[in-house]
Amino acid sequence: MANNGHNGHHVPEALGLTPAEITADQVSRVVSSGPKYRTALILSGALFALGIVGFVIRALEGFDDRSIWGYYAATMVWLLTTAGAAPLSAFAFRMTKANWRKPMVRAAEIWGAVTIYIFLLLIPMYFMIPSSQTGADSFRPTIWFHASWGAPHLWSAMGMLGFILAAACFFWITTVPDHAVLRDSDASRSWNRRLAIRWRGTSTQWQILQVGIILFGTFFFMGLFTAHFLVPSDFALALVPGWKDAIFPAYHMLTALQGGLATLIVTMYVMRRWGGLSDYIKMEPFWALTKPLIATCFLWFYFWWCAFIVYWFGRSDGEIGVLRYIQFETYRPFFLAGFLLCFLIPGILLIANPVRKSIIGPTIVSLIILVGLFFDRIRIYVASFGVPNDEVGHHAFDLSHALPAMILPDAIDIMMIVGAISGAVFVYLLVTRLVPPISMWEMKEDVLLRVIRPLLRGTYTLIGKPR
Amino acid sequence: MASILGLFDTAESAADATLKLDAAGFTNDEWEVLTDTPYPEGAFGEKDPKHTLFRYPFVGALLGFFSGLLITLGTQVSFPLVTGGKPIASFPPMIIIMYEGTMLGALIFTTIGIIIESRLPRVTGPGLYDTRITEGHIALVLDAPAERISAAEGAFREAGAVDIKQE
Repeated sequence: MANNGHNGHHVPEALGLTPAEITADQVSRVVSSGPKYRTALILSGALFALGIVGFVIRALEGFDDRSIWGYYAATMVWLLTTAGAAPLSAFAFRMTKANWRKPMVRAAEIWGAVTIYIFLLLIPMYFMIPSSQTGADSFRPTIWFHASWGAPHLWSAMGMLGFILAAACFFWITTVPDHAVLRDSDASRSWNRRLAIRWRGTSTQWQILQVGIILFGTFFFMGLFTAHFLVPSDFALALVPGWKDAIFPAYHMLTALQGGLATLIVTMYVMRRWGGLSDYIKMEPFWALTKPLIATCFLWFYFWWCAFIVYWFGRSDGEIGVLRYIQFETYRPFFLAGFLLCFLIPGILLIANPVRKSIIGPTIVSLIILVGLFFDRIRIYVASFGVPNDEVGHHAFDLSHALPAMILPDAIDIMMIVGAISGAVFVYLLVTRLVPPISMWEMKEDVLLRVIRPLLRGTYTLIGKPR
Repeated sequence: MASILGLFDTAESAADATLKLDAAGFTNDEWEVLTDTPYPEGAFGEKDPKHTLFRYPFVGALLGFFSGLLITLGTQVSFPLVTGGKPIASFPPMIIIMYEGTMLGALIFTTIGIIIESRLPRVTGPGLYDTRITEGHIALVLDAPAERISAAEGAFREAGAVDIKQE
């Protein structure tokens, strides 16, 4: 329950557990699983298997016809935009020394491990896009200029690999002390033993851990920008005639910030509601995360508008074709859904104080945003993959002919969408068997450095920030 | 050289033991504190941790940058194809690949740096350790000539160590 002072202000609540109790509680959550966990694991695993079946059926049709893979691409990029960006919160709010982050960082960090799965989903997409080189001496316009070999496949995959490595390293470095706890609690936990690499907890190791978090977090941040430059450039801009938009990768990155925050809020809600972590995850992180979330909602409009107005003003055939195709004609329903669910509705809802200052309010808004982002990815990637091969590389759509038609999902697409999303949940659940869903070492540090003191008729929280 | 580990069930008794080690003539270069929580630096009077981790990403980034430069420049020179009147060795197409190389190099070297600088794993063996540390106990590990170990053991016992190990 929220602890409100006499003037209605929210007073942060103390955890009420000792460090030993935190360790015992979190270790028990990792080594034993309840019925809710098993149900979620079986259900997500079954749906993931369904997705694999859908993928295999679709793969039998080959990769040459890109249009049948549009929904696969949209789902993969949606996961990159949401789950793939969630670890950034764990890094960013560490850098700002926000104490409220401590119960929620692990929920974000585990998504870092899930990025490996996202990368596996990305690999088939490289078989679907054409080479930059279209002839002995001819090239289609891409960000790789006239690279004669490896473009875009090799170079784009190399950049994405950097991002995935950074995410995995960030996950690893933040969990090393907790691996050591699990290693010591049960010698048979071989994965924890390997990942703890003989961690002892010396002062030097703690110091290195802090610096390592900063470095890997920085690389993750850089990698996230790289990913959200390469993916939209190679899998969207380079495929649609006339789409040469310098703002679009920045818009894509902004949606990743928005999606990452929304994913984290929903994850926290699930952990609190069904994961039995309500003692740890209270209202504070929900409330705090809505502040950057509302900013991203309004920035969504700003970035979209900046790109739109240049195209609207430009009025060349290329610009008119792109606007008609991805926004105002062919994929208009998806564009409008994205506009409403990523910007207008969440923006209006989050202005209301009672919505922000609650647990359910930010969760519902985050769900709205996640749905909106999915529609937005459909209108970008299904549209891009729907451009016929003979038009890729042209400088404009031929406006004397009809634009490519809108592609709606078939049963195989639905199987792949559900399967890919369930796969991410399945991997996430598996990782919680490896590390606890709450960062033990950070929570124990919080207990060590937090004191509640009386002041006149109320109390105040004194938090030590030694670094 | 010999090693001794004193295990304490409270941070206060561990801090008290470090004072007694000071009094017995040991310096904080001879002992280190093992904890399951990052205590504020200097809380036990331990030495200031020194590391050179920041050098690793710089070295990796430089190597990665030049690898990217070599690949792109080498490709352009090996396949001299004049396009759009631009020079053979044109900089803009090289930027992204050099950036990727820089990031990958920095990442790999940082990982190596963390392992080396944390002494993970220790080359000289696992070292004295007790699994109760991750349950909240605090350990002091002291490396000193064998003849001085008994003085350290006395300091640990006097401060209320719950267990003592030697190797």
